[in-house]
Amino acid sequence: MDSNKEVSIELLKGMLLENTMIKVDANSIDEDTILFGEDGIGLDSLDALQMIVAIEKCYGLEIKDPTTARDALQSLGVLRDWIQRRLSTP
Amino acid sequence: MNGSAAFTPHGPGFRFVDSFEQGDQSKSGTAQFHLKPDLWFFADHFPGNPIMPAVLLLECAAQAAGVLWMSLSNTPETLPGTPLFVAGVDTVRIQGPARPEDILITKVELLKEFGSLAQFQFETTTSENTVACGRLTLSRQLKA
Repeated sequence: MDSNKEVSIELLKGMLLENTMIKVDANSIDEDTILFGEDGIGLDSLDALQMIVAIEKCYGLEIKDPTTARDALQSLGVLRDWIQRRLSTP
Repeated sequence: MNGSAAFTPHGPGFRFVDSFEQGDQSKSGTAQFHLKPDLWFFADHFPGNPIMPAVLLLECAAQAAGVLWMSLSNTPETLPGTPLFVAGVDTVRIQGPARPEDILITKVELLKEFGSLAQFQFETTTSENTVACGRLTLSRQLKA
């Protein structure tokens, strides 16, 4: 786990663009944009897996189950807060 | 284990694993496939210069990954013979040709299992060289 790693919306957005098949204009994505589900921007479970692997690689944080993934990957803002919480937990 | 017929649902014309051995590390394994000169694709790919199509090298790796996944799982959804599907292919490199009489050796490692998906790393070699490497994702469902 790398607690010194930067956790920003810009960094997470870059991770999202690099690892998923975004079908919307990247400029329209902000920290509150819903990523998955009917109200989201169309990401699917394969995109979730790609993000999970990227988060694990970048921060050393493991997301083991779909429930945790659903909670953590709601939006970039929620993801940032989730990562910061996990990094600050001894 | 030998005789992949018992472990993959593919028909004989689309089976690219002859044998499979699970690695010492429980999440890896090695598949072998002999490229017999009379395989159906060699005649036309290409006439006079037979090379295994790259897309079939990927299929070969996907089948090896599928056998590994099934061997690691004990759930009813992954019993031998249950179809698994390719859901994604990432960062693949084709690095050399695979020709008639080559033995393809595909090493696969489970990187991450998540719900109905699993991501694998693979490398396929012959006695001569590395022919392909990369990452792919399999799914237990047709749609990810």
